[in-house]
Amino acid sequence: MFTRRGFLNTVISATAVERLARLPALAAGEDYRALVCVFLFGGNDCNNTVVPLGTQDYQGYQTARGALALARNTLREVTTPGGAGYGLHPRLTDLQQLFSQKKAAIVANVGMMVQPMTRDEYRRRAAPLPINLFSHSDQQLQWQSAIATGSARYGWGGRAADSAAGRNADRALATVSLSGNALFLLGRDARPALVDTGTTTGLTSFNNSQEQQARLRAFQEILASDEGYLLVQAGNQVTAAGIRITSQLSSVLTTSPRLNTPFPATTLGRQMEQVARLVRARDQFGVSRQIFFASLGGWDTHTGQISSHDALMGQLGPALGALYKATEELGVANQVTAFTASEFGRTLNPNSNAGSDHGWGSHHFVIGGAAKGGQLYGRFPTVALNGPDDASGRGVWVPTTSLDQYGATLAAWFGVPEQALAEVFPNLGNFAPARLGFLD
Amino acid sequence: MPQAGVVVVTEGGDFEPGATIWLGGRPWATERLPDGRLVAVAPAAAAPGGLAVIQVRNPSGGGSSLQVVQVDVPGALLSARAANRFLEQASWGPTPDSLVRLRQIGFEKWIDEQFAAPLSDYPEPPTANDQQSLAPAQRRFFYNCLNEPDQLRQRLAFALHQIWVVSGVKTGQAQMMIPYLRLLHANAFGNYHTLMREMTLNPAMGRYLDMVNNVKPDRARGINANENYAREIMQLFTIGTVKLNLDGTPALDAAGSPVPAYDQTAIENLARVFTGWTFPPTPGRTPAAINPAYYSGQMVAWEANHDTSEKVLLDGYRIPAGQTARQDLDDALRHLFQHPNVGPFVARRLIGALVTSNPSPSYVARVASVFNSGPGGVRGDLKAVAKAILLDPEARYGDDLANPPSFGHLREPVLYITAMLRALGASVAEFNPLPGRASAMGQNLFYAPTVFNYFSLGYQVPGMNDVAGPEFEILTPAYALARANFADAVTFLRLGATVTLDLVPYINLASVHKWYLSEALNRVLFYGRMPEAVRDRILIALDSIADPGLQAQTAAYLAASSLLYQVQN
Repeated sequence: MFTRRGFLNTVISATAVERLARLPALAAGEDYRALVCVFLFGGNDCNNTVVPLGTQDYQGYQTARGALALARNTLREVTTPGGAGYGLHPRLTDLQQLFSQKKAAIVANVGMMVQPMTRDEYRRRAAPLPINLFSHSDQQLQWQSAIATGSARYGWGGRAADSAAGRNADRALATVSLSGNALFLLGRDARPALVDTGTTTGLTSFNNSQEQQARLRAFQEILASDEGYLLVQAGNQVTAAGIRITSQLSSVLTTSPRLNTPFPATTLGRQMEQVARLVRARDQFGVSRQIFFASLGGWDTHTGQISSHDALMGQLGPALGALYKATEELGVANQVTAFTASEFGRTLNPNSNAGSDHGWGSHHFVIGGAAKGGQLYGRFPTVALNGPDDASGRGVWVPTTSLDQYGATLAAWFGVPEQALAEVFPNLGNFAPARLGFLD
Repeated sequence: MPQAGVVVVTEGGDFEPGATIWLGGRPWATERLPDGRLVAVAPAAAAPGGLAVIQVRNPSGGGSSLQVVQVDVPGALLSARAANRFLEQASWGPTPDSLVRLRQIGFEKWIDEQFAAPLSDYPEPPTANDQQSLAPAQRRFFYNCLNEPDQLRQRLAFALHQIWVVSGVKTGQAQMMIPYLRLLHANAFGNYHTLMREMTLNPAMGRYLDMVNNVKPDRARGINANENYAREIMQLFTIGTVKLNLDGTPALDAAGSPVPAYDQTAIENLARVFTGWTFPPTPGRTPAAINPAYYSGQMVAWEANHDTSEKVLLDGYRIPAGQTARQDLDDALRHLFQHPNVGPFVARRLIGALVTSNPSPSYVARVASVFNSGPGGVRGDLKAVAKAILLDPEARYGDDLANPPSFGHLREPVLYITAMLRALGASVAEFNPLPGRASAMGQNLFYAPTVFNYFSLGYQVPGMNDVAGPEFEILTPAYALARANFADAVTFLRLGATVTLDLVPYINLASVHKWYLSEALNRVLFYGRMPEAVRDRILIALDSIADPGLQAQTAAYLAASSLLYQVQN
């Protein structure tokens, strides 16, 4: 690490150099863990993401799905230790491979819940429910906050980062969003750095002349004036953060070589590439516990789902695959765990536009060297209309694993202490087990 | 826009023949009165903020000394600050001319004038075969903002666009979007009930939220009605997810919990109401059950594809079996329109778009009451609602006094562009680069990422206690710098030949003393409220700059890029 730091001193800004000087001994890079949340905005159709391949199961799926059913021979087959076979979406070759290498796990039928509930309890409204189930905006915020009722001020990623903050010499890049403002990373203290996937432009057209430097100085000084107006104050803070982050990132990112691992030139691919570059620069930023938020929109496939979902999966699989390969290249495969999130699944039953409507429980992927991969966690629903897991009659799965359990397993691996997990996930105590065991 | 003039009359008459009045750095056609005094008329823009340098120049060279004069609006009914604030809320931003007009006639007459102003339009969409992009419509949008007189209509139409979102992400062709945009203009001063019907039957909306070709359920084949439009018309366009009080706060049950406004069953029933509609028939083609895509006119019903069974909507309201698609739709829309949530729901959104992200509940209640029962007892009259929003004491409070700390809203990129350019007296031509600049600041015009708009109404400013700031959702650090870069491009004239700005009056003031320059900007962009600390920073920067032209650009940049300007307050 020493040689690397010697190199750094020549390329990073003065403030960053000061921070390096304050790094405690443990910042030698090996005590590093990162979570990468990949949020699929719109509600991913879990039913065509993981398909049960048992003969009866597949037939049930095919019948209920009608025009939305994927042909069996196009699915990417994986087998769990118990022998059950599942078919991943045809475009998820990368995840098929990672699953078979035990670097990826599937967590089945995860959803927002207040407490465990059966299908019959749901139909009788016999237990409390998350508010506004099936509404995009509400469920997106609930998935990000792990708060099922009422409004949330913080995200569970932000609360997890708060809890692990002591491990970071510098908190500026402890939480990083690659896709704009997101509740997920807001904590009591944690404030996500918002990073572009492109080159950071910064302020343009200032040169070194006396006139331009006077203008730049005044611009920055005026950011201290708000006259007590909160919105002005908030805007000033974001602008000041822009200046700070641009200088920090551009000095590191413009000088560091590109990774050998190729990334797809897609929305999500570029976000994953930026995650990998920031992970590589973790020592420069003095961070040893880091949470990233990335996202892709467009999953609300109410119409013509076969082709739109195919394109989305075609982005998701290769982007996640490239991130994993890059972590291997960087020697941190066991220290970076990526996972998917999405506000809800979709109806098994198609609608009249060859699409599907809003569902509830959904299947998710956990990827990384730390994953106890090659397995399916939780219970896979009975894929049948009006079957034992169907809330509505259209194939809307009542979740059998709560977001709290899924998130707590990730957060505990990340380093949130056992006693703090209940603060990060207030409803966790309603579910057993509190952790699902899909991470080492 | 009527042009306002500054009439200049000299005090003495002792000038050479052919002497000319200069105001704001330029000569104006000068006449001599019988008593020898000189008179000239200059445009209001020559005296930014009412400040101008005046001089009489003799043809032989030489002339009077330079004097800085203050130009007033004779018989003004309103202070400059009040007029500026009002025009920030009711138009795309004050201009030198619109300020004079408003101060002469007052708020109510100005609004009535706006109700009568001719509609601005979008370029005629090409035929369906010509897959023109939205770029010409985007450019025309900014051209209209800067040049067309129907300012209040445009502002309201844009606010309604952000409720009834259709996005080019899915309908990204001129022939798809322009009929939708025209409907917003045509209905901005109409009735909300009419708007609901027009939007519901608009083919672009039909395509965007999947009501078009939504066929009745086919139980045998296990196919259900598409729920997308049914859900979003309730959640996003009319009533929201929970029952509201008149003041927009959630109505709570005995246990103190919010009460859902509808459930999944209501959505499934409403989804069946909206079955049977297809694209309007392409001229010359025989109507069919599923017409090919065509976006002019309203969607049409194909009764065989409509579900005629009974539907149960909110609070037990029943639509009987056996009705036509149109009867069902009319019943359902009337039922939704009458829901008590609609008034506070619409009031809250329009107040947010025009005035403040954080209205008091009583402000929302006052506007909602007008929505519920406007002049003559009419429900949903958007003219009355607009008037109630703009004339409310809470909107006008800042005309004289300091607003509460959370008042106002961050100008979204579109509004930041229009307000800055209008305030500085810029000219914008049709073929302008402004859509690209808005996109660079995080708002790709007519391409909201989802039906949840460019930013969501509920967005809270991070790190603050219950302060709403929807526009902050798209204020990332990178976009914050892009905004400063836009102020740079405007003031340093980097936007090309189609966006021109005349800084000569400002430069002229700077050449007398930099303080006058700072004062003009204080009046134009800060309405006299520029904090002394900010003025000091600007003056200190100007100390390092000798050239009055560069001084004017630097000062204008610093004022326009400051967050005190970026937040409309």
